[in-house]
Amino acid sequence: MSNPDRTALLATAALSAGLMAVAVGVYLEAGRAFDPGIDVLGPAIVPRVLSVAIAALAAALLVASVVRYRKTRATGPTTPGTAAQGGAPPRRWDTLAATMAATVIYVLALDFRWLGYFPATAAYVALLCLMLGPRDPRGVFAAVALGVGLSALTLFAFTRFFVTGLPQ
Amino acid sequence: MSELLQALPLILAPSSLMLMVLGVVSGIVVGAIPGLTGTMLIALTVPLTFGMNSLSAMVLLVAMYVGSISGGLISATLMNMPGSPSSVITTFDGYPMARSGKAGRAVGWGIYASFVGGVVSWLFLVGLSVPLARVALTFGSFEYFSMVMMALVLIAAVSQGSMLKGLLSGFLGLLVSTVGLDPITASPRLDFGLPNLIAGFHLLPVLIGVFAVSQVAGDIARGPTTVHVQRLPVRDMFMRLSDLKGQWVNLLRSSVIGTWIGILPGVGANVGSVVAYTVAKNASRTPERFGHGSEEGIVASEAANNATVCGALIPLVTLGIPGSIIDAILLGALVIHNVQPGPLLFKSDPEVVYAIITSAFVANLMMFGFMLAFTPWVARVMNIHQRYLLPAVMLFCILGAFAVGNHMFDVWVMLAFGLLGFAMVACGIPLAPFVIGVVLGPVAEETLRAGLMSSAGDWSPLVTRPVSAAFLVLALLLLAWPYLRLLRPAARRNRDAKAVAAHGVED
Repeated sequence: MSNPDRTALLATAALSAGLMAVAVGVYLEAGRAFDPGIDVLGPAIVPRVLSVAIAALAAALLVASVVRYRKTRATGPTTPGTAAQGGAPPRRWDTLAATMAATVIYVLALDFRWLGYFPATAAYVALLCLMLGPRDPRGVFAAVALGVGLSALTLFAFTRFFVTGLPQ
Repeated sequence: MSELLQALPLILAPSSLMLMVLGVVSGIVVGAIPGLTGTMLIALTVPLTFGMNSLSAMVLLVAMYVGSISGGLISATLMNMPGSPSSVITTFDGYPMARSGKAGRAVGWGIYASFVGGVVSWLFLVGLSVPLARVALTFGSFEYFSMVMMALVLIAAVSQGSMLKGLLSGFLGLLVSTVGLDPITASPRLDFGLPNLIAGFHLLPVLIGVFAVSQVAGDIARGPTTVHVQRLPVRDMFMRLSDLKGQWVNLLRSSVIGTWIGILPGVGANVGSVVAYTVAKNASRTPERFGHGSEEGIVASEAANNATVCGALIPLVTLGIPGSIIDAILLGALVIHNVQPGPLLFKSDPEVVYAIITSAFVANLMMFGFMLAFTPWVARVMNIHQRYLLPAVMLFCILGAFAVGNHMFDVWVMLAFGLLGFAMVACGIPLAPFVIGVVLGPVAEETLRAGLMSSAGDWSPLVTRPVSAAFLVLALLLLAWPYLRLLRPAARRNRDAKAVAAHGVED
């Protein structure tokens, strides 16, 4: 069995630490719920028990990740872990960050009504296509066509066919 | 039986048939495309069913379920890339057969096996659902709580990754479900002073985020791809009666295994196909061919994974406990359509439950016909580059989350849980226990606290009531199993570990 990827171990440790912090926050916040005293447990007990369990499990996972990370450093260069081991690291962090940033901006544009649904969606879809694919004239044309087409299709389908709301 | 026959005209109505055709075809296509899953499709479709009645909505979603489990066979065989997690095992033998020029025969075996698996498990669904519902009516609050705990531990035990990660995921899901109004006192809790959190998280944005957004993020991070699909000769896909006779034992055995695996709460089709494949290999006269293009391997995997569909519907319609992740979404869909899942479903909404049962059979028939007729065309759809598919999927995620309550807050919730889901997958923490925790958390807390109220704070019924005690003992055994295995002789442990590593699958 190959050694787990060090990046994945660091990520696991970071996530575990984050979950422990969330668990502490939840434990404190749970106590603010009003308890009318009509049942044995009340509204705070279950979230508090769960937060303690999560903190304990996350702490164990943090320790295990740190120990394995130190072992991999001691044994030298590792081979990347399989996806089943949670070891294969993402290879396109920049593209992922850019697409997620574009998504957040798109949602902000809809939430704060910076743009109408059609232009915002067309621009968003086209931008994502360009981020993920070639930016030659053919790629640009395909991206714009998909953006415009998908915006029109969803506008029609959601408002006329599914009868559900669209942002703006 | 008479209720089933009464449901048939509703299912065979033109509108229902059209919905089933749409569901099966879209399920097959999405299930075939690597990077897209049936879970994602169904989660994104639920918000679109708001304008439908509950019967039509469930017919569409069940048809998608059947189609998506079957569609994964196509890419697994032609591209060595499972279109859905349930088809991972099919790649072991499907792709080698395709490479040796027998792609049509490999896909054909998969289609026939899928159909037989679906029919066998459907018979179990029909035969077991009413008696089980009657038994479930005798369950009290403590029994339900213990059953949910057992389901959570079970899914944590069989999920990919360590038991520690599985339990962490499950408890996290339970915690997410506690945000909002307390189920007994209606006091707001864990709202952190945000008005939008007083009502808690809607289930669908959480599911869409965890499954769809995290999947898209993972595909983007790995780099969008396209693949070139092998040519598929249609005439080779049709099996002769003599071929089927030679595999009838394997077909039946794998179907039964898949059905019973599917019944286990929270356990999905991929586990069913792993177990059936392993059993088929052990029982085969030519086990050395497994992994190198064995028809028995394809038959075992596909019969079992399709059998889990109706198997997983059994606890859903009888107990209100999802038998798989997709069933968890179906349970959410029932609630959204004001249908209360549980053993009383047969009395309160019999037309819905019998529509689910009947449509599962009809959808299986449609799947068989469509896949035999149109698989070569579906294979061409897989040539679409992910750089065009992923933005479309992302857009549908946003629109689907918004459609739940017409609130942009749900979209932000979806994005946040998408980030969490991506982080969990990257760290090897399984998502299935998280989802089961979110879905069953309210049931668990409500039943526990209601039980304690009725027993005046006495906890002993949890262990003195036989059914409740049995579920808890099972849960404890499952928790202790990894440590009990350490007591076994070292040689046998090593042999088991090698077998697990050879058949390791992702959740």
